[in-house]
Amino acid sequence: MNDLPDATLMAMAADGDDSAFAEIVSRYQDVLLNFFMRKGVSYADGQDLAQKTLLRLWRYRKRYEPTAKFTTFMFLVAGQVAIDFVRAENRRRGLQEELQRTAEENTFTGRMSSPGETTVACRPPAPDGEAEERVRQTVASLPPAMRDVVELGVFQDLPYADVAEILGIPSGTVKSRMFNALRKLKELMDER
Amino acid sequence: MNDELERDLTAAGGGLLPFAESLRRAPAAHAAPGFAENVMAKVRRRKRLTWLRPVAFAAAASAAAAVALTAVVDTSAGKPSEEVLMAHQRADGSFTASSASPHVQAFAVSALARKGKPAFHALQLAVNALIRSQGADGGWGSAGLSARNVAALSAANAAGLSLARPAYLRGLRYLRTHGIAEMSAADFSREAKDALARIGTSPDVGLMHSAALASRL
Repeated sequence: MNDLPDATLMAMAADGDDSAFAEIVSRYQDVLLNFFMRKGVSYADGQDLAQKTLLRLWRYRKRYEPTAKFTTFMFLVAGQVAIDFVRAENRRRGLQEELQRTAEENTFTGRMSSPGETTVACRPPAPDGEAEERVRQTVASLPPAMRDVVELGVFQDLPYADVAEILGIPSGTVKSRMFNALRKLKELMDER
Repeated sequence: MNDELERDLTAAGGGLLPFAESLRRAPAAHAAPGFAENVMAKVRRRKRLTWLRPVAFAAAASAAAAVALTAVVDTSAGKPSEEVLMAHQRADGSFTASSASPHVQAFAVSALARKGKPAFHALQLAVNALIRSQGADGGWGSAGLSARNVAALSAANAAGLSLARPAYLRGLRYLRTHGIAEMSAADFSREAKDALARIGTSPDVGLMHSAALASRL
């Protein structure tokens, strides 16, 4: 099972073989975790999002065509999961602000949360080193369009054509954006 | 690094190639122990759920109910589905006459919220039923029921149903004033799974489908 290509494992998973899918999980759990953490989310949220992506891949296993590279398919799904997460966070933030406003206007505000307090549970710190954190935070601070090409082209080592397909932009744009992004990132890293 | 990028970065100069290589060599985070096992437990649970045929629930039901449920199998491809759930929605927006599971309405609202546009009208009716049972203080009597119903209203609001928003905010305020924690999606799903296990062989299609659908994260 360990040496089978991704496409074969997914075909086996589509036939209901969950041990084949377990191999996919084991191959890509860290890749996905780091993909999300370099977008600036915490370790705990990164794990949640990696899990959501893997469960969505399981749900979509029959839609995957072995003619396409599995990682292209996986990062497309991971990108959708990231977008859903950002939307949910924005909604949650909007609701928190609205609730805070109504609480301030209310007479029984004594038992409501104080300004700035959120209902998000405390997250454990990422169990990793300073160098890793520095790279992750600097990548996360790039504008999203630049960050995405570096993530897929450098960290995931995907060719321009695959990055273009995942991001829905022309290959030429990937290439020019890549240089600008790496120059910017280098500047930011040198500053830190 | 792939040849294409390596060639371009070499040509671009400015130390971009060694910089990109150093990025790739940077240490990475690792998933917590048990992460993969947890994902696979959920995968296996989902596999079991797809085998959960309504006809199996009919086995313990009366002959008349069994006939009705067999008809359901024909239209639902044997899987818990929002379409079947909608078909069993009552005129007042509720899903079951059973008092055995007061949480079913929350599960149904959450399931319909995820279905999106095709279930929007059913979601509206279901949320109205939930709001009708909401107390003046914003809660539903018990801590567990209130937490589930608030989570369901949150899902309906997130799905774009604006009428759920004031009720959600009232419910949230109730939870806060009573020191009750908001329920996460994972907890909600776990509650639905537990309810499904308790329901067992109930012939109540609305009850079974809503819990089965809500148990999927």
